[in-house]
Amino acid sequence: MNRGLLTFIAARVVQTAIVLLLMSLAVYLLIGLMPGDPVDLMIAGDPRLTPDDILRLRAVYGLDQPLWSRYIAWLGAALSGDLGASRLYARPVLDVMGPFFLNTCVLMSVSFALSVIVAVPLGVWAARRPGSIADRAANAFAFAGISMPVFWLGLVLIIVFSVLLSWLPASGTGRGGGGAFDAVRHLMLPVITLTIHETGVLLRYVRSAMIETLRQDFVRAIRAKGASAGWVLWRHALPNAMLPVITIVALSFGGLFSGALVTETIFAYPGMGRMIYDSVMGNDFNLALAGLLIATVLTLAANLAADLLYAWLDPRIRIGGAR
Amino acid sequence: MMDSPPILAAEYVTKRFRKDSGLFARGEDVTALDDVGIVLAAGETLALVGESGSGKSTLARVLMRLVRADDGRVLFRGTDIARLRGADLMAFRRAVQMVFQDPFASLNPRLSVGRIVAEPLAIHGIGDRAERRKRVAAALESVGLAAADAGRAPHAFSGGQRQRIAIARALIAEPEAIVLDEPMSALDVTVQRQILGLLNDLKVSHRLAYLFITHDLGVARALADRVAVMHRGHIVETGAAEAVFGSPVDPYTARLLAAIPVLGAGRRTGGAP
Amino acid sequence: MRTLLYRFSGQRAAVASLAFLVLLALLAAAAPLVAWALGADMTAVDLYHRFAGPSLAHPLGTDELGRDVLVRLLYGARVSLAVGLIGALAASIIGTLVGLGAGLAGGRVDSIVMRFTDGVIALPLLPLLIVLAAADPTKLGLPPGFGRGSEGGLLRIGIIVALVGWTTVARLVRGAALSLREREFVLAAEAQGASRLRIAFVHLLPNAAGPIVAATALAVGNVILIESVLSFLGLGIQPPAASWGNMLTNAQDMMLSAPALAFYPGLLILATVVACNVAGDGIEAALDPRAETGRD
Repeated sequence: MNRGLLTFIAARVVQTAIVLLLMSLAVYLLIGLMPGDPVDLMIAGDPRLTPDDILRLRAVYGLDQPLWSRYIAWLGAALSGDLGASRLYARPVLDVMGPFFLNTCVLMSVSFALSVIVAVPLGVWAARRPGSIADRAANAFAFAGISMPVFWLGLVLIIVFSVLLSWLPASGTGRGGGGAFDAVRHLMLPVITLTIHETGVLLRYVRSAMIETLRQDFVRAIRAKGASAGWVLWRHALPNAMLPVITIVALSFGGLFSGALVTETIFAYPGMGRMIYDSVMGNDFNLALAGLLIATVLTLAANLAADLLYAWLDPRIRIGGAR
Repeated sequence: MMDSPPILAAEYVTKRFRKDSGLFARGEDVTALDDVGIVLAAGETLALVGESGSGKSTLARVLMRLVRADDGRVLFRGTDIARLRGADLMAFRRAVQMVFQDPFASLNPRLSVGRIVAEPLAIHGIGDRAERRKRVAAALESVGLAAADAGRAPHAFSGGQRQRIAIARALIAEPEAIVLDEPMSALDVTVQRQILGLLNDLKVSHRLAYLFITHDLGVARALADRVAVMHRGHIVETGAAEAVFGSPVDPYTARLLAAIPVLGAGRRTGGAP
Repeated sequence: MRTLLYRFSGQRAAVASLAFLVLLALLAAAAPLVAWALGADMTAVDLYHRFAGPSLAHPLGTDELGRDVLVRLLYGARVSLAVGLIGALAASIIGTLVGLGAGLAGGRVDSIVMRFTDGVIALPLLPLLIVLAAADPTKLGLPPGFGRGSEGGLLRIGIIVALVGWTTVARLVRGAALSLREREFVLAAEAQGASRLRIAFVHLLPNAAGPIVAATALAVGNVILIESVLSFLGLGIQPPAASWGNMLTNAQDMMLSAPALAFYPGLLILATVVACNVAGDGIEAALDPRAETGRD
């Protein structure tokens, strides 16, 4: 690794941190748009509070401070690990988030891995013969995947597999004691739902990236030298096509999270998405704030990883900028 | 000889570019223009000759205030163009026009020819719609095209015709000087002669000063009153055309004259016909 | 322009998609007529005939409150198409202005704007939309009840969508502006003293129009999906107004009693979004001089 690469990595990390900081402010402001504030809810719960009590409570919670100082206070606490307590669960936010986060990670990673495993070979294969029956079928499948409302797909799958066929459960995680197999059974429908959509997205990009690469002159040169089609495909075209695909994949991470939110809601799967939804609906400011923040961190981290991976893989950059 | 200041004068102009460095390596500086000085007086044709990469186009862009010089200045009628603002700036823009090298890139493909040619009028607020239409027709006719061509799109015309359109656009606001950046390099040889003839005629009829940039010495010879020779960002020789072509002082100029086949006009010692 | 239309018309799938969308729009416009013909208003509750199967009076049956499904579907089409078009257009306009501004200005302004755009892209979409949809208008100085009610709901969703959807177009336009800026016809305009505004709208924009149109077409499909998810979650169009999304909201509870009710709205969403995507792709392909398959 040359110094140029290290500088680049450092620069990108610093940039990401700055963006994250700004995003935390944006998220904080957005959550502030939710109806009411913590004290209002207390008032609703206890009508005996006098205006004096309300004033004191406001002061205690720092709600009489201007927005800036509230934000700074929150930021300070957050950076030292204190994200406040959840109103809905009456426990510290971090405690509450843990299991949700884990569940979502499982859901997202399995779906992501599956969709990559399906989309990449399929996209490469379809790119070999653009316009053929196989290619058109793959294209149609991809279109359907990206155009389908995820929640509807989930509903349909539930109707088919849970209601009509009773093969798979419709909700929950099954971790309560059914063992690993039961957990897998509970995961299957949510994962399939999420995977279909994600596969469609990736398939389209892989296919067009491959087609674009195969069209280039260097591929024809290699083939003219007598290399077989397969060799060309895997050794030469694919690595080149992978560069833009990696970027797309990282960018689609945000979309994956949104899909996960919907999927978790349909399947009553206790994950981050579901948690955010419930906390927003329930006016649980701290929890919603933390959840939104974590989601943003994840997406930014994915983007950063993509950038770094891209920089590492692009031979032009690796060699050090000579042009 | 002249009492009024020259139309354009460059003094000690220097321009450096940082070479494209990619993401990590530090780029090197390329000096495109080094301490360059030239003068364009009213009504004269100054040819700026040199090989590719000598900095001619960069100089043109600096003179037109499209690119800012790192050092030195450019004077328009004695005033530093970098200091021009508002109405003075617009006066400069109107008085000094430019014709570009690539006739396929210098016309907006989405506009009609009429709108392209009328643009200077629109920018400077000259005339109403009827007046502008008349002027466009006149401009098109003066470059050898038909008034009816105003309604067509640029891609309907050949390279030579497009260059005529570009010239019409340069003429329509009645400028004093035109900077022509290799206006004929992209054209066929026969077309070149036509455009050359056109430019010559227009120079007289419109009383224009030309800064004619070219790498073709034959063209320079045919058109120029004075010549400046550029080599790697330096002006190596300036002077009256006959003097420079007849007895060049600088060795580079001599090499240039000997090496490049002269097009058409006259025989040179040892040169190709 | 003519070549674009010619190339587009050569792609059967894209043309078929466009035809479908036009047909859908016509049907949606005719929704009140259909309602009148069937004698059933969108909100007409008829508890004696819940979950009815297809019949002459109700060609697609009735829902859990006895309301006619066909009529509700058509009204839902109105919502989806309206929100889709308006949201996509709004997002496109905002994105174009931002992209033009950044691309033209260049340098630091461009960097800052692009970092900001990347930041917005980094925000997870659906959680963000949920927060926006649940937001309290009074905290922004807007009158309470803003965005409630049927027209208000449309407006609110349109605004929300435009607020997050502009980023794709902005990047696109900025890229186009940066590359077009170096072209000689732009330099020529600069040399004549054209103002930045003039360069942006007379020179840059018309030459970037093609990709913008394609991106907008694709955006319509995305907006429709967003609206349906929000309505499904109860944050978009509220009942009794019909939206394809909110028709599916109770579908989960009714899976056992009337699974069919879950199919129609979702199917329509799927078909419409596919049509938007295919048409948008068709426009993109018509723009690409090296179209891979060209005309079918």
